[in-house]
Amino acid sequence: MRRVSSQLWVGIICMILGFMITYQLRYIKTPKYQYTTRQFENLVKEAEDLKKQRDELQKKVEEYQKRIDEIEQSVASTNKIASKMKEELDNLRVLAGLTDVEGPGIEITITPINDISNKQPSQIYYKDLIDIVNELNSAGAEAISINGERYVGRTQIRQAGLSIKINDSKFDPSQPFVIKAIGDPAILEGAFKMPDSIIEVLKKIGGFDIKIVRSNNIKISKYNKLLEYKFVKGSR
Amino acid sequence: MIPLIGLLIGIILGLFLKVDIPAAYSTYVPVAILAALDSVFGGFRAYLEGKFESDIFISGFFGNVIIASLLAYLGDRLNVPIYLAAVFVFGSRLFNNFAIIRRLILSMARSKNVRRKNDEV
Repeated sequence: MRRVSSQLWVGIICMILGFMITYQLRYIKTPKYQYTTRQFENLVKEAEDLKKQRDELQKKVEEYQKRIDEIEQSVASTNKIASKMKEELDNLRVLAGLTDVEGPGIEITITPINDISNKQPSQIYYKDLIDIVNELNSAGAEAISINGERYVGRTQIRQAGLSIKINDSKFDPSQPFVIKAIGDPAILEGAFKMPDSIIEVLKKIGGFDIKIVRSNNIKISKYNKLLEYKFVKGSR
Repeated sequence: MIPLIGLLIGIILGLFLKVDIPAAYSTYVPVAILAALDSVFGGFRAYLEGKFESDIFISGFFGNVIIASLLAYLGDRLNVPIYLAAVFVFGSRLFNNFAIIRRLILSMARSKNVRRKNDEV
C-alpha cells in the first residue's frame, strides 16, 4: 500500500515537471520567419519596383505641375482679372507649403550616437521631433521641414512600428534627422538656448550629437504629397 | 511505470491546457524547472542505489522548486542575479547525478553480463 502511494506521488511530480517544461516551451516559442529566403528576395524586388514606379509617378506629377503653371501663366498674361487671381493663387500656394521656398533660418541636425563609446543605443523619439517643431513654430518659423518632408497643417509625426512616419514617409529613428526652419535665425536659435528647452534636455540625456547652424540661405522643398479634402465642405 | 504515465499526462496538459501564469512570474518558471529536474534526477539516482524514500523525494522536490523561485524573486527585487546561483548549483548537481546514474546503470549491465557468462560456463 505504501509503495503504491509513493509511486503515485512520484507520478504526480513527474506530471508537474512535464507540465512545467511543456508550458515553458510553448511560452517562449521563438517566432519563425514568415517568409523563406526566396520569397524574401521576391519581396525586396517588388519593393524596389514599387519605389521605381513611385519615383516615375512623382516625375510625372512634376511635369503636370509645370504644365499647369504654363497654362496659368498664359491665361494670366491675356487677362487682368486672371492675372490677379493667379497672383492670389501663388500666394496661397506659398502659404500652404506647396512651393519650394528659401530664406534665412537655421538647420538642426540630430545624430544619434550608436558606437562603442555609447553604452545604450540611442534613438530619436517622435515626441522630441514634435516638441522641436512646436518650439520652432512658437519662435515664428515660417516654413519647417524634417528630413526634406515639409511640415504643413496635415503633417503627422508619429511612431510607426520601428520607424517614425512623417508625411507618410518612414524614417529610421537611429539615423540622423535634419530639421530646417526659415525665420529669424537669432530668434529661432534662441528658442533652444533656454535651459529647459527640448534640445538642452536631449543634450542632458546624452546619446545625441546635436548641431544648430544658422544660415542665410535655407532651402525647403515643397509638400510633395497629395493634398485633398474628402470630407471638408467649404462655406463662405 | 506510473512516473512515465504522469510525465505523459503532464506534457499533454501543458500542450492543451490554457493556463495563464502572469507574465511577471514567467521568469521564475525556468529556475523552478531546473530545480524540479534536479530533484527528479536525484530521486532516480536514489532509486538505483536502493535508497529511495518517497517523503524525502517529495519534500525535496517542492522545497527545491519553492526555494529556487523565491531566490529568483529575491534577486529580482534586489537587482542582483541570484538566480544564477540556483542555475549553477542545480546545473552542476544535475551533471553529478547523471554521471552517478550512468555509472550505476553501466555497472549493473556489466554484472548482468558476468552472471550470464558464469551461467554459460
